[in-house]
Amino acid sequence: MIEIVLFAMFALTAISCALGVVFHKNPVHCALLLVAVLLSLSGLFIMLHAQFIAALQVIVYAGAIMVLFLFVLMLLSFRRDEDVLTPGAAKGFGFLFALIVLVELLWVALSPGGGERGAQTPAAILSDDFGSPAAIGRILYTTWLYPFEITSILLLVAVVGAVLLAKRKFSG
Amino acid sequence: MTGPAVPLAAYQILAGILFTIGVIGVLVRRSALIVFMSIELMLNAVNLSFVAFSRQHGSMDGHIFVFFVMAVAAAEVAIGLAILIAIFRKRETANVDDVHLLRG
Amino acid sequence: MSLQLLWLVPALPLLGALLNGLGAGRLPRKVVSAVGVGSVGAALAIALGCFATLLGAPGEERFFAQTLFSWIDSGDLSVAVRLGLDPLSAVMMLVVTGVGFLIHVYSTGYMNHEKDYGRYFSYLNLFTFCMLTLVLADNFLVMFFGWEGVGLCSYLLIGFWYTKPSAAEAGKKAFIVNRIGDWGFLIGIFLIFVTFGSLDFGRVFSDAPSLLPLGGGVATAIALFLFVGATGKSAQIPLYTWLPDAMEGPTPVSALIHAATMVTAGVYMIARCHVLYALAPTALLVVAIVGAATALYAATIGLVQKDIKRVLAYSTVSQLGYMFLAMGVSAFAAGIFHLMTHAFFKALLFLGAGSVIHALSGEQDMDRMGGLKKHLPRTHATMLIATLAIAGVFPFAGFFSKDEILWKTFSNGGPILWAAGVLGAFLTAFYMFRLYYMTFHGADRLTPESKAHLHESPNSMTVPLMLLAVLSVIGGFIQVPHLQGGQRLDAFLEPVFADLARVGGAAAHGAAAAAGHGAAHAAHDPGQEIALMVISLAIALAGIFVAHRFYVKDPQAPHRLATRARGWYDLLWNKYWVDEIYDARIVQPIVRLSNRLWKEVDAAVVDGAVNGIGRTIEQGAGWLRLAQTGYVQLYALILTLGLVVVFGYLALR
Repeated sequence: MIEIVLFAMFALTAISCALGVVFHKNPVHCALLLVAVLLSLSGLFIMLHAQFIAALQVIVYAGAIMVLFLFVLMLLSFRRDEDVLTPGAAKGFGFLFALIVLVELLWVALSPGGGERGAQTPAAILSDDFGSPAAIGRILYTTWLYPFEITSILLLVAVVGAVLLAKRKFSG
Repeated sequence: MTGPAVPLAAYQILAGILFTIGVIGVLVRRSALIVFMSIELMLNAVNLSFVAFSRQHGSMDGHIFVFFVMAVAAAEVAIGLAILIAIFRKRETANVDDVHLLRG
Repeated sequence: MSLQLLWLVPALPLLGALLNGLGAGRLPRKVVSAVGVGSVGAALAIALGCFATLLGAPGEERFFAQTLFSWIDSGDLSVAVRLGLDPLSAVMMLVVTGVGFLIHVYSTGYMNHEKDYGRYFSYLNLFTFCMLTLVLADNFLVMFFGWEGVGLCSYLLIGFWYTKPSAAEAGKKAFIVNRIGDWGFLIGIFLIFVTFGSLDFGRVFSDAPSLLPLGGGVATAIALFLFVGATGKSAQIPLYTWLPDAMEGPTPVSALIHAATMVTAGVYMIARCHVLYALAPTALLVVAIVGAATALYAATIGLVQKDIKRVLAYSTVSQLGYMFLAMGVSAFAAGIFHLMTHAFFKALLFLGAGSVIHALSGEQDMDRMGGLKKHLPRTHATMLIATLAIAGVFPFAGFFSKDEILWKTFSNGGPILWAAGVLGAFLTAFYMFRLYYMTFHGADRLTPESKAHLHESPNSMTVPLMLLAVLSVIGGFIQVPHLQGGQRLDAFLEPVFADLARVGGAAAHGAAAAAGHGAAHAAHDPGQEIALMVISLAIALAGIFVAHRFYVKDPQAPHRLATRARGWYDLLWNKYWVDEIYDARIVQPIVRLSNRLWKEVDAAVVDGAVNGIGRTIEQGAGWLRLAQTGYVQLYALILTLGLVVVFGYLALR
């Protein structure tokens, strides 16, 4: 019972804040609303027994990435957008396509599905350490070692790239 | 534990809605920074979907995916904002409509 | 001398051509001369050696073939580069190398001031190589190679001074008109291959009598098509128009190519293919008629020409007509005999004319010559001998050969052809002595420029003249008429023409008789032979007498006659307007058609298609480019569209 309430709460927060991100004029407001979305999602993660991911969400996403966003916002002192939305036909097409996407996703979500891993199968019994760092560590460093290493290189590249791109003066 | 009270479908629908809102943001907003934020929104919707499925199947693979998505998102944001700063420094605008140098 | 060295005869001039061609401009003049003249000289030596060896063998065995390498081996067609030496080709080979050698020597003097000395000798050697290939070939394809090669060299040498527009035009004209003839020749070769399955002379000529019916369509077709080639190469009606224009080339070239050797290729070809022609009496008749007509026709034009070389050119056309006339009445050996003597005195005439032109610093108009007898003694003496020879005066070479042709024509071809020949002989004597008198006798009509460096030519030029003069005198004695016996040339050539006996039928009987089985049938009518001989001589002397009247005794006479017979004079002076007719009726329509094809087909259709493809792609690219707006959001929009489609597909699956 309480889960349903929690779910509803988190879900509504997420949706309304998301709409705010997309439709607000002041970019700082948008950023803060995005943080709110991230935190609600974090709550949903905990409900789904994904403790580690939830923690990561707060630390990395809300704590690092959004801070980065805010830094840039402050640094470049964006003006308030006078004209929020793209004018003209593009706006109409954009809404249309998004709507179609929604319809499709709902269709998939609500379809009965089939097979072994379909949506109608009962939820699996979770192990005791499901969602714990230990569990993640166990498979991260074994099955998923290769992507892990590559991701670390990716991050290195991103760091170097970001530094280069944001340098004040380009030498050649 | 017994079966969860909230069915999987609910989470999927929520993820779908958030994703759609993100798509709207990407297609419709003029400020590049807001477009970025919408992309983050989309990524998070996908994360939610992964975690929900992971819970459904009892497999940790979903969590690993989310892990990687976050890592990549971080990298992407770093680079993207760096580019944004570079463009803004040159042209004093972050309006996506004004930046069309790749015109054919 | 081993006959194995036969291949050197054409190969040495080829080597000379390559050396002089590659080293042109860089080698010193002495080296060029040594290479150019030496290669032909060496070829001549070897040719003489081979000839001697051939003479050493008994009559029936006088044949030697040398296969150099296999050339084409494809399906049914198997052609090797093969040289064949028999009496006929030996005679031709000696003429080419002998007269050729003398002309090469002469050229060292005549072309001494020429800047492109090396190029000249290279081309001349190349020509010698091609001509020798032509006469020594043992199959049609190798002969055709030589045939084409001499045409090419003729073009190169006529247009030697290519910066002069008239020379370049003349070279083009020669090549193109020749090409028309070559078309006929090729069709003939194709027919031969289709009929006989082989192009080897040996096979074709031995199979012919059994394979082709006498007077049949195939034989006639082959013979006529080959003859078309001959009319082109040997300047007969209707493809003779290139030869007068070919006088644009250096005079030694005119002597070698357009008198002694290249133009005789057609005559040689008919002699070589005598079996085929014997099987096609209709074709032989055509050959005889064309020959006689050309002989007469060209002589009439030569009557009024003023350029000394042009007179000689028309004279060549006329004399070639006589050779074809001989071929046409199956007097093959007689035709070859006249070919040989003609080579001597015509080359001498041209070289002598060259000497005159050289002495007068380039003057070629006879109206501006005269009285050169005292200034150019050696040239005068040798040219007088040559003129007597060509007029057919006893005992010079031309008398014997021309007389034999006329006699054979009378006995085999009938009185009409004979009468045409006799008339032509009269005209020949007349216009040749007209040339002689206008040049060497009479009043001095020289311009000051010509007189400036008036001098007898150097030894390099006069010695060949003298040698050729000797040949013009004694050359006839190898074939004195039957009565005196000693038909040496006939006897020598007999094995070549012996196979005419195998060609069945009465026509062949006559042909074999005329071709030189000699003695038995000569006793037709000794009285007839003597009578004809007397008539020939009388005609020649009459021609000389009239010329003397017109140009020495009474120099105003030609002018008076020309004014009175203005129409005839204009007709002859303008060469019957044949060039103009060809141009208007044939050349211009082709030019117009070509222009139309160029503009309407090539430019519009072909270029249009190719460019059109380019333009279409350009336009298409333009439309596709519209998608590249540069707006990121548009790209995102399209991304989303794709997303929608993929989702849809996955969802509905």
